[in-house]
Amino acid sequence: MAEKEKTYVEDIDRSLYDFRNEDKDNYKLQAGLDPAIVEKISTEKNDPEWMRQFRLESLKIYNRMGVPDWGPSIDGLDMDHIVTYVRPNTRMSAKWSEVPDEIKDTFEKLGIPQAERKSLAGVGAQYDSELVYHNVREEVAAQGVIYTDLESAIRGEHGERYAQMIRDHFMHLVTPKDHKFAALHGAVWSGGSFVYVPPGVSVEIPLQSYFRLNAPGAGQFEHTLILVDEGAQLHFIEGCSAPKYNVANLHAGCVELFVGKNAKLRYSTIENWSKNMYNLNTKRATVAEGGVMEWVSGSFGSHVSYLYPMTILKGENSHMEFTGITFAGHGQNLDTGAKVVHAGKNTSSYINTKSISKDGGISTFRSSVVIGEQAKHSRAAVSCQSLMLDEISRSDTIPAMDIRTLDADVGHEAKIGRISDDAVFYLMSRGIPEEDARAMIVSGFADNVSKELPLEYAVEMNNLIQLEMKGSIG
Amino acid sequence: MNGIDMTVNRLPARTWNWLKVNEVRLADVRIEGACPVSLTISGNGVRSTRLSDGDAWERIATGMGLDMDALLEKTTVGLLTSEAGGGEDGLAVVEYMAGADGYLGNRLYLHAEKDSELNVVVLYRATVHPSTGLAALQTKVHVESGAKVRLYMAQILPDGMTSLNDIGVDCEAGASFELIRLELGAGKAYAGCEVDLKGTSSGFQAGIGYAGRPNQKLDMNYTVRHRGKKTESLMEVTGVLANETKKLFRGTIDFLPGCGGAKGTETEDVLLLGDRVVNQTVPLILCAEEDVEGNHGATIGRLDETTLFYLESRGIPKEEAEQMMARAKTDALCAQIPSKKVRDQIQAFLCGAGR
Repeated sequence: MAEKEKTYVEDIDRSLYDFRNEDKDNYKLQAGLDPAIVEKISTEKNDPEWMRQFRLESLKIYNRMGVPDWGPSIDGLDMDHIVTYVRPNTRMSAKWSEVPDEIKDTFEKLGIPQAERKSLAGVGAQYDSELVYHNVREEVAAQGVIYTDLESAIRGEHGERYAQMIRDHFMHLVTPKDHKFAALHGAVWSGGSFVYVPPGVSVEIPLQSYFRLNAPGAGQFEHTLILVDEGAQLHFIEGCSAPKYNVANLHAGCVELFVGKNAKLRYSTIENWSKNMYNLNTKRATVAEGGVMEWVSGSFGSHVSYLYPMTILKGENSHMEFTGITFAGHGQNLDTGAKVVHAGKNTSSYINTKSISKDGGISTFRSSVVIGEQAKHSRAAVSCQSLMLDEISRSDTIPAMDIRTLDADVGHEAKIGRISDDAVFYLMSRGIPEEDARAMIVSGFADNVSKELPLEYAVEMNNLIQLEMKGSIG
Repeated sequence: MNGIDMTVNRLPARTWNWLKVNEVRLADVRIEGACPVSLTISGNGVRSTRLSDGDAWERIATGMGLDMDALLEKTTVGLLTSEAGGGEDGLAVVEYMAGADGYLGNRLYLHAEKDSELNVVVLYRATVHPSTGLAALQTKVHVESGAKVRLYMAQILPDGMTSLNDIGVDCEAGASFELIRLELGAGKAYAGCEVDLKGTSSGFQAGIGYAGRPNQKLDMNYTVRHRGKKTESLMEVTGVLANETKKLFRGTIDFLPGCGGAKGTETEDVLLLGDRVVNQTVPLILCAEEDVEGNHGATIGRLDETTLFYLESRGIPKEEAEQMMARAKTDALCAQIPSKKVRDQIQAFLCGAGR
């Protein structure tokens, strides 16, 4: 019998995201991390005193904590060579015309202004450590929705009410003691958005923040804080990318989401960092009675990723859904998944993930479902499927369940396998070339995520999959 | 005699430390002697010998890990061997009988020579009801090509005792290992099993049952390594947890490079009957090979309303219905043990004797 030919999958053509601007005309702090650097960031930010103290305390916690002993290696990340603050040579504006041409061109290439015109209620664009553009549609602002950069809101520039609201919530859900990189974030965070949706307000079209890291050897530490008040609804989209360099870049952002009583928040992410990026990001939501939290997550980029959005179902009858896909290619070790804690009665959660590994890529699905003693009549379901596209890649599934009440129903299923030869043969017998047949099957495999995204982003995700599959031969 | 500090039941791939599932640390564990053993062999083709040391078997990894090798290093080793091509009608019944306040350790090695069959029943029980004590048993199994080992193992120690019950297996080409295992007793029960399917077309099949009682702690670690091509494994775990039971089950299917055509399936079905229960399940699939099929499924919950309604409509009170369904889970496994005497002892234990 003739030996089966193996599929060869070329590395992704990332030219769409891989362009870079010259690293000049910006203000940079020296690489490394010490109290003086943290003080400088605080001064740059014109922080209130409580925030300056918070940063310094976080640095102490960072220095005390060890790196994780359970995930992908981060030995290639040397904080002595990471620049924690890079300020572009511009101020934040609400008009694209006021953004410097080079930076504006960057976001034009990424399609952000076009998307804003067509399908977004507001946009925030961060370039390195600072926001360069932030705007929200008038009719949305008229509903009382606050969508602005976090820093001006902390300083009270949008009213003392919101400054206090931030102080009451900032890093209360993800505390600096959570893990080493949460502590790092607490010390050097910069940029990011603040959103407040008042009670009963439904934001019909999404808001989006886009994060672009241009400087080599730099870190990006944006903080996103969203409060959706009682009965309100919001869809928030987060995008990120960076050009590839030969030195390590670091992303240690933090997302804190507060979903009020009977409120609903959908948080969608297409993560497409370059493959020299250490993406050590922390996302967490807490959901009040009757609230709904939905996560849609696509992870395509980064060299190493630790990413597990966590939801705390605190209120009775609250619900969470996580839909995610991870595509790990050459040189990538992507450790992704989700965590959910059921604390309230009658809470429910559904985690549904797909992962694809090819060309030596390592994909790990990691999850935890915790149902506490008080969470009577709770239900949780986890489904994860992994697709191996060649024999040099790796795919691991590491779920954990911790159930502490009699009145709970938990289901879990996991599957690992490869593209069915029969399916490829069937499509080829209908005249579809093998490469296209395989890409088609992978797109279908990822369908549960793309169908949850707004059309433009579903198209982008499908394009990414097509790019990843480009060069497949039978 | 000074004991040793041990780390056992390590999860093959670590996860978040706050979950407290990565391993178990045991302090000051000591062994003071061997547990009295009764051995009955029926049929032909099985012989029993005693080994002076277990050095030649060190290569076989076990589920609880290397610290069990260290703990039991100086204990006696009983070896059962099925002769090449024979053993089909043979059955060995090994009964360990712990006495009062003992800290006991034994090793049992099973060797199935080429194309033979080795059927072994192991029962670990106590002859008295000690308030304390420890029983450690390590079973290593070497299955040569084309051979088959069926191991039926039940642990019914009283609540005052701690059980360390460890298994390690390697299977050559075409070999198979079948395990029926009931972890029913001991206030603290630590159990492990690692099966290395290193030969082409070798297989592992397991039916594992536990019945956690109030305040009992159960900690289990099962791993199957698919190393050879076209290897197959099936782990079916079923258990019942009563009030304030703490149970952790780790089950890992590890597809290693070169195991093309391998298939592995693991299921766990847990019935929760008591409150303030801690039920932890960590089912891993590790995969470094493209051409494999790995599946895991778990269901955790109460007795479903339809079954309960049906039984109650037949006049069976809820509590009795729950107990009946709980017993059904372990009874199905118990019924497969080919020794009436052992089955009867298990049933007596489940009815309350010997706890």
